[in-house]
Amino acid sequence: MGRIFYNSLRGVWALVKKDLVDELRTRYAITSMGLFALTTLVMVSFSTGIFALDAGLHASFLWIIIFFSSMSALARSFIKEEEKGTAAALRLSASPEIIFTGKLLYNVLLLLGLLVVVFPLYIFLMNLSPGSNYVLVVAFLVLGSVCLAGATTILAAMVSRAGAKNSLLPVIAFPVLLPVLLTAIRGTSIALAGGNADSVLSELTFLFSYLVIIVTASLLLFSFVWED
Amino acid sequence: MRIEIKGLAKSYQRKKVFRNISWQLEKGKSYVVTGPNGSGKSTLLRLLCGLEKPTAGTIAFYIGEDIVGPSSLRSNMGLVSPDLQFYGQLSPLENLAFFSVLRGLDKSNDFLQKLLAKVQLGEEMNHPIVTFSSGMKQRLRFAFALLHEPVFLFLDEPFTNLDRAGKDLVNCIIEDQVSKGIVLMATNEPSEVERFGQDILQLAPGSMGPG
Repeated sequence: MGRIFYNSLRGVWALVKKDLVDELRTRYAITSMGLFALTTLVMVSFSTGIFALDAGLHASFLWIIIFFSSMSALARSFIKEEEKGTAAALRLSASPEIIFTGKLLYNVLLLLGLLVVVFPLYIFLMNLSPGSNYVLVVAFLVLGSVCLAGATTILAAMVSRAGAKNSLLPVIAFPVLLPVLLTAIRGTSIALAGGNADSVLSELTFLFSYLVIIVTASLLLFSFVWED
Repeated sequence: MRIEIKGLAKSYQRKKVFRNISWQLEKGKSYVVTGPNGSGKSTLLRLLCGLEKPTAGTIAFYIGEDIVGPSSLRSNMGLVSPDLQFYGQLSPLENLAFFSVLRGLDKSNDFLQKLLAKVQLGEEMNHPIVTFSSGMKQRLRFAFALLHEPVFLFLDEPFTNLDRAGKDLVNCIIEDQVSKGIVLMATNEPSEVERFGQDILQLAPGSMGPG
């Protein structure tokens, strides 16, 4: 039992490592995500430069940039396997659970990488208030992004065999992710306004519960999506 | 060791690929499935590998008298098929190392290098696959299929794109593999059917199997 678990962990890590190496050599997702984030950020910065924005607007802009920047890259995780014909070799080599967990972790790492670039740039370009509770803001950004990755991974697997794959994902993902986005925006907004952990407890609890439910449901359903 | 296929049928929406195929394959023999394009040869192999699900019928794999479940089947079955592609940005060695870990195997670098040398890719083992010819990719498919030393080996047009040396190599692999388990090949080439078809399944589009 222990041996099987250890081998599964090795398999998951091998898949994450393979995707990272493949990405670093092709730079498809990094480039599309980075350029989209940068152009949107600069556009937002220029168009709102003369206005003093409140915390709610800052939180909304931040999450809109994260959502749309990440969609094209997250969709690629399964689409590239189907398009390049490598999905069959994956299906022959590992259980659906290993594949899903590996892809989920890779998507989480990709989104965390996006946050590392976007958030400091946003603070710099948008002159965010020094009175914000930045620890809480980062907590919301990380938890919200992991929720985004969790829901998008299973959806990306579902759309990977459809015709208009890349454009389909944001449309399908939007209603599924709407509760996450609204909660994350509200929580980030309170944290940017300087709120403490008690004032956002319900938002944090919601995001954490959403994450547990979406990952559990995805693990249970993924084999039907992957093998049928 | 045997494979029992009973009443197997496959349709895509309204198109019937084949129906009512029943066949028993046993250890120590090589089998050939043949038929014109669209008769379902590759589909049959994909069904056997679990890459597709049958519309009707069953496939059961036995090692000794024990039935092989889906998770153990993965570690006992190998496939060589033009549908199989590998990661173009990675080298053959990186690809095999990745699939080895993914399969839960503990293969050393030395083992992987010897396997690549066996399929005559020793000198190119560190080059990205994107630079490979179709024949070299076909050799890599054999390395991938043999990585976990399977007992059930399924070959879809195995000699495609191979040069003389590659064909000799595949002949050796098949002969070696027949002694260890079951080899099933899908081909249209009469010389391959004659050489490896100890038992032959002839398919025709939408046809009923031999029963």
